[in-house]
Amino acid sequence: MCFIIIRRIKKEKPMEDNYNELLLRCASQDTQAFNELYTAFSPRIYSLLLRILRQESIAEEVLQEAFLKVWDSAASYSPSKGKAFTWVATISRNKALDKLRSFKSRPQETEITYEGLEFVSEDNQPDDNTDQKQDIARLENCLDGLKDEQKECILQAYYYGYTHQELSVKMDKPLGTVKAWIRRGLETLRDCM
Amino acid sequence: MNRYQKPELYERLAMEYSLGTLKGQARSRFEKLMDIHPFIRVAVDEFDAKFAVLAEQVPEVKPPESVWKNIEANISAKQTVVSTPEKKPFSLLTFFTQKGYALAGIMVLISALFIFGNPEFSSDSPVMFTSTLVSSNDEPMAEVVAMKSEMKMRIKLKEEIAVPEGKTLTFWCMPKDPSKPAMNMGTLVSTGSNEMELTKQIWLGLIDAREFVISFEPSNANNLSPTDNLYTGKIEALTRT
Repeated sequence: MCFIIIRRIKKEKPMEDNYNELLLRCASQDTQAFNELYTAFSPRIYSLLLRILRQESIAEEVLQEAFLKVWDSAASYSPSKGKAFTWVATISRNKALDKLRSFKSRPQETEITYEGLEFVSEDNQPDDNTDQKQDIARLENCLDGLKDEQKECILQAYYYGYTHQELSVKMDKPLGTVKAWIRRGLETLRDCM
Repeated sequence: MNRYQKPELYERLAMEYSLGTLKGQARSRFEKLMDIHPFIRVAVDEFDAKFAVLAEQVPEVKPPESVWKNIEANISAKQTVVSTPEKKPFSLLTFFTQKGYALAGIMVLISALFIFGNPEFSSDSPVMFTSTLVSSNDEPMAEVVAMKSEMKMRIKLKEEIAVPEGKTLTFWCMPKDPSKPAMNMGTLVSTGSNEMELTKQIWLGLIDAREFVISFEPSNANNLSPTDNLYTGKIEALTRT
């Protein structure tokens, strides 16, 4: 059988264009571009890694590994694959999840606590990117369409890397119930997003 | 049809993978499936992009300066190694008297024999496929180019296609052997250019294909062959010689 990835070549927004361009320059070993990309993305990526990994030293290690992978594989990036931030965030998050799964037990929790979407402050709202605002609004709207427990499980899994089993313990609910919440929540999201 | 070709199953697994709730062997197995079935990779990429909006919302936390310094040092070390290879006088005798290199030499020789004995790498193997898909009244409506050098395929629609409600624009690869099933290669957007990534398996599949078809298919159907052909085009293979 022969299956092929099909992807629309998208029109990028100006800010995204800038980041995409930086990432493309990384492919030609442009360290200045890489530094700019790191400066732009690392604070959010590090924040996400801290939530998943719970320990600063481990988050720093994974951040370093993730950006080295970005540097090494920048040549495989194409704007048609999506936004540069999405590409970098996915690499970083997958590295964090792999690291997390390699531990016998989850690192001790730090001061970082679950914040839902409340941490989306005014400061974090993009000023000049209407499309990004629309993406956020669309996702928030979809999440609001979920039952509270479904939304809770999905956000906890995304931001903190919890597995079904961990969510079951954390929420004091049977494993099957948690799995069903996530499955139904994702089905609803799939139809909405 | 393989169970993983059912959209309702692979999309759900793709979402679970993107979310991070697939773990252990299930996660490893799914990663292998992504390599085999590019349409699963597409689904994962799309959900990654959608969920990435969540990642953009976390408050910024500046990492310590030491992280960038380590990254910079690592890159610098790599570049030094690449730019200043150590030069030593080459001695064939020394080379083959060192066991490791002798073994490596044998392995390289075996690999070369394997590679150049493989029809896929022969000089008359295709390096590019092209096709012009035409409508029922023979009007050229879409151009397809697949390049081995980029391992990518581009489909350019000449004009926007009005897709009936409840249907999707589906791209098919029809094998030369009519006893083999048609290959559903995914859904196209109705206007402009579509880009596809090719794997080695896909490339080999193209070698054995005779034509491309674009058809309308019911959105929720899992048809094994095109049911409502819109455009068809013979596949032309180009070789180096």
